[in-house]
Parts: sequence; C-alpha cells; structure tokens
Amino acid sequence: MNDATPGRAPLAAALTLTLLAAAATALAQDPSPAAGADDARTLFLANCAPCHGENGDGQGTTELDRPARSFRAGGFSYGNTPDAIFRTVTYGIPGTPMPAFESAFPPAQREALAAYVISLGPGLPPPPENSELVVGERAVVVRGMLPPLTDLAVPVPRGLAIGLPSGMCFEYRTDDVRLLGVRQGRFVDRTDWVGRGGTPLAPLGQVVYTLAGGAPDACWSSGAEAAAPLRAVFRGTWIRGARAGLRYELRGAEDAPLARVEEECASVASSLASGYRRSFAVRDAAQAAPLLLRALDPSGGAWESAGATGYRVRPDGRLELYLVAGSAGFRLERPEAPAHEVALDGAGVGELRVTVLVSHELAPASPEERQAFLRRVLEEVQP
Amino acid sequence: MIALTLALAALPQATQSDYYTVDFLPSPPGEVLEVGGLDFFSDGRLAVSTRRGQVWIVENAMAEDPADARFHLFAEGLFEGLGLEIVNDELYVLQRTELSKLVDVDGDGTCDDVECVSNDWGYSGNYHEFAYGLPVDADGNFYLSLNVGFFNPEWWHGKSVVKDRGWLLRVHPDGVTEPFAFGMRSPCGLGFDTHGNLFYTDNQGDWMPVCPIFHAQYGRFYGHPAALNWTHAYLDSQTIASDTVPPERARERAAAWIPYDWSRSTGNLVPDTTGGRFGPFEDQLIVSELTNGRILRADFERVRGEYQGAVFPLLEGVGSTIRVRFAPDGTLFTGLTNRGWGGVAPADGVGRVRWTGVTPFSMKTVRLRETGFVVELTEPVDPATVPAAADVKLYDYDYDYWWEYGSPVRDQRDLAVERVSVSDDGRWLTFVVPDLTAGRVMRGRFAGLRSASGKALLTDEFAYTVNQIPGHHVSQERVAKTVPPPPKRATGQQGWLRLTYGDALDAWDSSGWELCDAELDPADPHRFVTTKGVNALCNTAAEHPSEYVSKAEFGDVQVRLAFMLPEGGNSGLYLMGRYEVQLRDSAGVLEPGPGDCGGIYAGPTWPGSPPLRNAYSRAGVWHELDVTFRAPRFDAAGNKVANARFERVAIDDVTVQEDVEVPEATRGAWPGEVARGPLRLQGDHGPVGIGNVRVKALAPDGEAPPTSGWTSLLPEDDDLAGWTRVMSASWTLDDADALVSGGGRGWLFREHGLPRDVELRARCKLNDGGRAALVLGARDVAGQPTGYELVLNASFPSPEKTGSLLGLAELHTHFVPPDTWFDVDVTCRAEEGGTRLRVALNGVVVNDVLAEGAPLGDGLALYQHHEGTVLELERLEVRALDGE
Repeated sequence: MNDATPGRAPLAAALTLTLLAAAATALAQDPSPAAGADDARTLFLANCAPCHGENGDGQGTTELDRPARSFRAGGFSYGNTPDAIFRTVTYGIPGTPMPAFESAFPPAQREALAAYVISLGPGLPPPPENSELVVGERAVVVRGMLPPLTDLAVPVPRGLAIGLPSGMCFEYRTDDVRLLGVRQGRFVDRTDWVGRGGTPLAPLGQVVYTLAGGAPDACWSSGAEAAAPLRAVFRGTWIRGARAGLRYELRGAEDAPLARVEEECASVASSLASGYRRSFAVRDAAQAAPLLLRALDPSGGAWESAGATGYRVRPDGRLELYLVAGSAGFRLERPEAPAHEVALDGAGVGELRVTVLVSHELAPASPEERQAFLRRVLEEVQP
Repeated sequence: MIALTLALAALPQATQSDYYTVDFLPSPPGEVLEVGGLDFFSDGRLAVSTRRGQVWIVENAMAEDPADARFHLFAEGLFEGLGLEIVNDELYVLQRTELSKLVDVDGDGTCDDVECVSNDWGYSGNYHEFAYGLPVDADGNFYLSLNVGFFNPEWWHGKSVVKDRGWLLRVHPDGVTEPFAFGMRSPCGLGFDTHGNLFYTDNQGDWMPVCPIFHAQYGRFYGHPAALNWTHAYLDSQTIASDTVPPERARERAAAWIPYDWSRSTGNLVPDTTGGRFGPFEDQLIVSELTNGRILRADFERVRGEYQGAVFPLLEGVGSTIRVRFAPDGTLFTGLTNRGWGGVAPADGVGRVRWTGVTPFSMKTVRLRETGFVVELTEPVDPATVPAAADVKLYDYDYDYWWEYGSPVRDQRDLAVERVSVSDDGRWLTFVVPDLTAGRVMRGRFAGLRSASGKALLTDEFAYTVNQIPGHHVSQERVAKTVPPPPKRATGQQGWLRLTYGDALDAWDSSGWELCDAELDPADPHRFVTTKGVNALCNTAAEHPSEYVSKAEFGDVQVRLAFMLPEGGNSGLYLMGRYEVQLRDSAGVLEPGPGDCGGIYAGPTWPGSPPLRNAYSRAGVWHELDVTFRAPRFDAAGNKVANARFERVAIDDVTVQEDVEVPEATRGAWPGEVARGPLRLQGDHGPVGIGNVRVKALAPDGEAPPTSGWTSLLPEDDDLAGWTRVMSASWTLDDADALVSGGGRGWLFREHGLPRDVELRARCKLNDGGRAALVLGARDVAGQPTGYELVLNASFPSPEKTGSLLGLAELHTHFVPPDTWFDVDVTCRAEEGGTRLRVALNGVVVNDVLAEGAPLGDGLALYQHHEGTVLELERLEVRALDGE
C-alpha cells in the first residue's frame, strides 16, 4: 500500500494501484487472479467494503436486511482472533449475508484479510508478556485444560497442575481425580490467556513419569471388589508454603460416599535415586470394606519384587523402585499394578505413603545386587 | 447547587459528564485485569476475579483519587473467573469448570485453599463453553449459567454436547447442584432485582434475534434448542435437538429485547440499591454492555403475570463493560474485558461511575396502560416542548426466532399517537396509542423535550417490550416469532445500481466536490472540516462548487442516499433535475414547512408539501434518505398527461411524504418537464455531505418490457449447438438452464449471426473476484474472439467495471455488486462517424459512446477472463433494430 495511513486513502487512488491492464492487446498474457490483488487493502476494498464500508465501519452501499458488522469497534460475531476471523472469511456466516470466500482466495490471502480487518479496529490486546507461572518458594496450583502427556493420551479439559519449588510438577485430571504424570523443570505457561478460551495450558517441564502414558484408570477401589473402581469427586486444592496437594471424596455404588482423601505430592531426592512421593490421608472411611490403591504406573512391565517395597528395570535400563508405608497389606492379582490396602483405625482414619524412585545409575545386573541397592536406598529415604 | 442549575439553564444541551463521572483504577504495573467478577467485603475492600485466573483484592477502591487504590494479588492459577460473589465475607469465584471458595487459611493475605463447592456440569474443552455467574439468593444458593459450544464444521450452530451446556444451574451451599432453567445460548450476565427475581442476559446469535433480558424461572425453557438434549424427554428417546428446525416447546418471553444499536454483547445486571446515591433510578436494573462500551438501564413491570418493560440507554464511553456492581458508597464499579469478542477501549481493568449529585432530566419509567403508555419524568417538563400527537416519533417491530445469527427488525411500522397529555405537575406524559399491539417492541424518541428548567433529556430514547397489555385479553404472541427455517436467501441487492461506489465521481458531472471524511468544524458548526477519507462526497473543494449531477437519466426511480448537513445547512435532491426534495438542517423544528428537511419545495404557483413529521435529528449526523418517484407522463405529441409524483419519501426510515403529486417543477428547476432526467444535488447553498447514492429504475406501473422480436441465444442443451468453445473455459447448463462458466480463460463464441444494428439483453450474475465480458460484433483474430467488449466486473481489482466498453469508455463506478443478478442491455447501431454503443444496467443507461468505424464482425462471444470466474446467464436475447 502506497499510503502511510491504511484506510484513509481516497478510493480512486487505491484503485490505480492495481496491476492488471486488460486492454485488448494484453489478452496474450494469462494473469492469475492473485496478480495485483496481494495487497490486503485492495482485497478488502474489492470484496468486503461493499457491505462493511470502505473503512470497515459497517456503512457499505449494499442493501442488507440488517447492518453489516462494523470492524471499527472491534466486535465480531464469532470472535476477534485471527483464527476466528479467518474462519468467518473462509466459511461465511450461513443464514446471514456474509458469504464464504473459500473458493475466491487462497488461504494466505484470507489470512491477510483477517489481519487487515483486525487492523481496522482497536486491534487485539498484546499477548501477555508475563504469562509464565513461576514457582518460587511457595507451591503453585493452576487449573486449566492440559495437553496430552504422550501420544497415548488425549487433552484433559478439567486439568490441574501442582508446581513445587523443587521444579517438580504433578498433573491431574479433576473430573475423576487421578494423577496423570510428573514433569521436572519450569512450571506452566498460561497460553490459555490468548484468544477466547479452550486453549490448553502449556506445561514447560520435561515429562519424567507418566501413569499409563497419561491416561490411567481410576486408582482407588473397594476391597470387596478389587476390580470395581471408585469415583474420586474433586473437593479442592491446598497450599501450605512449599507443600501442596488436593482433596477428593471417594464414592461407591449409587454414589455413596466411602471416604475423604487428602493427597499431597512431594519430590524426593537422594544420592542413589530420586523421584516423588504421594501421601494419602484418609478420613471418614466407611468400614464396610477396605480401600485399595493402585498408585503405580501399570505400563512398564511387572515388578520383580512386590509388597511393601518393589522394583523393576525400566526400558532405559535404570531401576525403578517403590516404597509404600501405612499399608495393611497388598494384593497382586495384576503383577504390573500391585494394590495396597490402607490401614484404617476405628474412626475410619488412615494414611498411606507411596514413594516412586528411579536410580541415577543403570540397574545392577543381578537380583541380589538389585535388592542390595534397594536396601541402601531405604537407608537414605524414609518410605 | 443553585449556581449549577442556572448554568444548566443557560446551556440546554447538557451532557453525560454533568451527571455522571467516569474514571478507572490504574491496574498494577505490567498487569492486565480482564475482569470477570467483582464484589465488596463488609470492610469495603474490593475483590476482583479475572479471566486470567487471578483474584485481586483492592484497598481504597472508593478513594477520591483512583490512583490511591492498592491492589494485592490474592490468588492465581484459576481457570478463568467469570463470576465472583462475597457471602458473609467469604470469597466465591466461578471458574470455567468449578465453583470455588477461596480461603486464606493462615491469614497472610494469600489464598491457600481453593475449595470446590461444585464442578458438577459438563465441559468438553470447547472454547465457547464459558461459565458465568454468580448471584446468590436469600437462602445462599448460587446461580450460574453455561454457554453452548461452537464446533467445526458447522460452527454457526450452538451445540450442547456435554451435560448442562445451555442451562442455568442452582448450587446449594452444600454443593448439591441442580438444573434450574434451560435454553440459553451465551448467558453472560445474571442478577437479582430488589424483589428476589432472577434475571439474566443472553447474547445475539442463533435463536437470539438481539440481546435479551429474561426473567429466569425454575423449569422454564428460554429458546435455544441445544439445551433440550439434557431434558428427560430427549435423553429417554435419545433425541438430539435439531440445529435448524424450531423446537415445539413453549418458550418464555423476554422481559426486554435490547435494540441492536444499543447492545451487541450484554454483560450482567444489578439493581440500584444505593438509596438514591446513583441518581433518580432506585431499584431499577443497571445493565452492562461490552461491545459498544455502554451502560443501559432496564425497568420492568408485571403485566398479566409477565415481566416486561423499558430499556433506556444510560451512559456511553465506559469501555467494554462486562460486569457492574454497586459499592457501599453508591459508586457503580465496572469490570472490563472483551478479549476474544471485540469491543471498544478500554478493554481491561476496573472502572467507576459516580453520580455528580445533579439529577438528569430523564424518562424514569415507561409503563403500559390499556390505551397506550405513560412516561414518568424525573423533573417537570416544559409543556411547550411536549410534541403534538402527530409529531411523536413512535414505532414498533418484532423479530424472527430462527437459527440464523440474529434477526433484523421485522414488520416495522409507525405507531400513530392519538393524544398526548401532560399531568398538572409536569412529571407524567400520557400517550394514547390505539394500535398498541402485544408481541412487539415499541420504540420511541423524544428529541426536543426540555425540562421546565431548560435541561435536555440525558438520553431521549426508550424501547419497551410489549408482551401483554393491561386490560386486554392475554396474548399468545411473542416478540420473537417462530418462522419456518429460512430458505436459501436471495440477496436484497437485485435491481439496484450503486452510483457512488468505487469511483465516487465517475458517474457524475461536477466540479468542486471531493471524496473525503467530513465532520462538523468544532470552531464553526456551520462548516465542515474535511480530512482524507472515503466516507463522504462534499462540495467544499472550491470557491463555487457546482451541483452534483448524475450522468445517467431516470424516469420512475427509487433513490437512496445518505446526507449530512452542518448547522444552517441547505441542499436538495432534484429528481430529474426538476423536483426538489429539500435537505435542510431543521433540527428542533416542531412544525416543519415545505422548506424543511424532507419537504417538497414549492413551485412558482404550487405551495409545496411539508413533511408529515420532522424526522431530521441534527447537524453533523448522517441521515438516510429514501425516495420513490414517478416521472410525469407525456403523450405522443409531447403533452403532459400525468403529473410527477412522489410515492414515498422517508428519512431514517420514517415516512415524511406519501403519494404527493407535483403539478409543476419546483423552484430552481431546469426548464420544462421531461420524461427522463438526471439526479441533481444542490451544492451552491452551503456545505453538504452525501454518500452511498444508489438507484433502482422502476418499471412504470402496468407496463411490461417489450417481448416481441427477441431471439434467445442461450444454449438449450449441453452440446451448446451453434457455439464454439475457445481455449480452456468451460460452459455448462445448470439445473435451472442457466449457462454457467468455469474452467480457465476462454470464450464461448458464436461466429456469425448478429445483425449490424442490434440490441442485446442479458440477465447475468458474476461471482466475487470474477471478471468476464460480452463481446459484440466479434470476429476471430489470432484465435481469439475480438470485438466490442462489454466488461462484466464487480470486484476484480482492475479499474474497468461492469458497463465499461473496453478501450472505448471505461467506467470506474462499481455499479453492481458481485453474486447478484443484474440486467444488462446493449444497443449497437451504425451512425454517421461509426457505431453508437449504449449500455444500460438494471434499466439505467450508464454508458453511451461512438466508436470509430464498423464492428469487426457479426459474432457474439462470452468471455471468461481467468480461472475462478463464474459467470451465469439466465437470459441472453437479441433483436435487430430497424432504423429506429
């Protein structure tokens, strides 16, 4: 555009910009419709201005049965983001005079038009400069849609991430509360602050653990029917300085409340192995049947040893260990996912702590060496 | 106070800032507060939730200097927060997926626990699935509303794909969540009035003609069918609600349908509970609006058991306001955001509106009566300014209830007022309106009304939604009337020609007119200030600007144009250059004469015709003129046998002349009376701005176009017998037997057969971005049909537009829009010196040129200029001209 102030040049001048000379002698050429029409303003004048006005104020010359949108105020029927306007330009708004331009222009030109239309109004707010949530000395909890952790998982509309000062981040779903995976690194970028909504958060850390690739089944069940999972109804999150966790309520058949659970996540580090710990505080457990928890990643193979402690070798050659405290026993119907029973007192109160660690070095070769390694870890790390 | 009143009396045009001040709290540096909710603690601290998942607590929010407000980040990490409510000093926030209570357990000013009161509703992840709230009733129950979603590919239909989308929910204090009402689309704002009735606003779109205010009642259906998916009837029968067919379910009437020009997107509403500290509107509902940046006011009454009533504009220039809340000191706090929806600036932060203590002169209430309505004013009126019954600008209309995005105003008609009376104390105006009808929105404007102390109305319009009328039978009508799903729409542009579109001067003879942007000169409102722009044609470019005269001539014609005048402005539109519709700055004239705006000027002996009412508002404002004119008729000898006649003249869609015969040309006309003449706009009586002139040539009543002697050349079947395809364009017949082009560049050529003197007429349609031509007198030259090329081009960016004769007379005005059928008529006739070519579009001659020599050949070609062009022809006929 040859004018410094788009939208203000006299229309007559704008038209003289066009390249096409369609005099009879020029018929030998075969110009494409795009030639001379790359300029977004020229496209706008030729295609949009009849209804929306030459400067986008909705005062076009075309007779319409309701006013065309004014772009000056920045309001649009279906949103004012470049994507939304691109879509409107492409598909039109059926049932209104706004036509579809999909076959008229290639996508690049439609994008240019969308950007131009936005420029006629107040424009979009700048993207948030400080949209990254940083965990300092205090834990941070964020709710939003989570992207899938791996190719095996799907986006999680009701998601939650807990970020600890150690750099560890725990991702949960909250419609039926479950831990999905653990990351290490920076916390979360709130990319859901742009556009209209429906954009996932952007967790920034590296994925270090997942449960079933980020799509685990329910982890609590009732002892009477070990296979019958309990629904975990979300009840909130809590932060106490550097510590954080969440609360939920376990429901059984016909939505009967079976127990309240407060879960805390923490990172655990030692010289030999590092990982995370989940602590479960159970209250008001109905005494009808014991509560069972499968807190370990069911993918990754069977555990070589199982019980209050166990280990297995990961595909990357390191040794994965688990330590469970507060258990009244365990079941091993599924070797890859041992179930631990919560020890409850007479008041329906109990605690369970599950620690999962991975060795820093590759796993020792023999079972005896591996058990020795496990004993050394237990000296450093309390279950 | 006395001094202020005297000052106001001297200046009748008081403005908003005399009554309300608007300021904004500066947000913390680097922070953007996209407000979703706000409420006050009992100690006066303000809590604000934002769409960025933050909750800020503000101290000194009510301080005189807004910069004294202190913001503190209380919580972050929430998932939006489009509702906030403080109950017993406990803080509740409505997130997209959770109603939460935020608790500072250790009292350090930072939120520790976010307790989930309820998350018991569906959320699929769709961008449009907002949750809005968050009023509380006397029992401590929360109310929230859930948007439907919009998905690909048919993203214009709102859908409810997971539980409760499109529903209003009630959440008990213990978290038990139950459905309350359903049929919502985008129910952005909820609020209780002072009687405990819950109201909510929805937003224009599918099934919502414009933005409504509904009275929400348990178990009722409010119109958007997507929510029906979650009713027992639909769940049990596994039925999914139709996107297009109106549901057979009784739906509630809106208490108000807000005029589109006042609200594009409505936020929440709160009652004025300030006990008079916000002006004279106690108990009325204050409504936020985020696209236009306005605050509106709603006042309802109960008629025949239904809530209905008036909406008034209240304030402008307040930014994109989505939330409003009264502070303990009577200040109206506002929360701003428009991200993703668009709207005016400012678009984030917290604002404050305060009453100055001066009562505005306003329509306080509008109430229906059996025979009409009454208006209660905030102050006694000056009876001299009360309009006579015939001058009251009142009209009503309704809407369509359908799946299209919104509805235009339908069935608009003026409402006659039989009588206007003023109460003794001057506070009440009573209007007798015999045609008051239920199921319509009644809109009125009282420009010129003044209080006894000389104040003008702060806002002079109201819109009252008439669901029921007192004393009448209960009506079954609704304002939003069910219509069959709309069929494929015909464009409304057929038959019109745009005379100033594109090149605004090309189709006119003028000097001293320029294309510009024009506004009233602030230093001298009798003049314009013009800047570079494209919005107006103004006669300000020279010392003695000429008139603005169309090159085309017309007989019977309908003309529409926009005009703007400065103070004292005086111009006119002469039909045929001879019959003037007066354009005049007639602001405030209560009894207009023929010389006032919309009048038909007097002739030498004829007195002229005054406008039926003064529909002109004021200087500096654009008005729309619509004229339907019938030319005088002459017999074969040239004697006049019928007078010229104005069938209708309207300004801003208000009729000012109806069926007026004009027996002679009006003063200042060109001499004589003729059968065809141009449009002539007066430019020598002072500045005037005009724009968007478009015309429709009307067929004379009772006459049909001649049909004899014409031969159709349109191919009758797909083998296109008689025609040859040249190069790579394709030509086919569609289902309606119209000829349709496609493929690449090329022609459809008929090598011989056009008479030397020929008239050709065609009905054509050309797509967006397409370019084509009709080539007459054509001959094959180097493999390409060459002749007189009549260009067809609406929106392809080369300068010669439809009606141009390439290389001979190129027209730059964009006469016809794309994708619209138009009629083209070309005559090609031998004349001394060459060949006369005359082109008419939609019955109006736009091009008339003498080409040198004779035509190259006697062929006819249709030309497609490039791939992507789609030219359609419904009719293609020729006839020989015999020495006419």
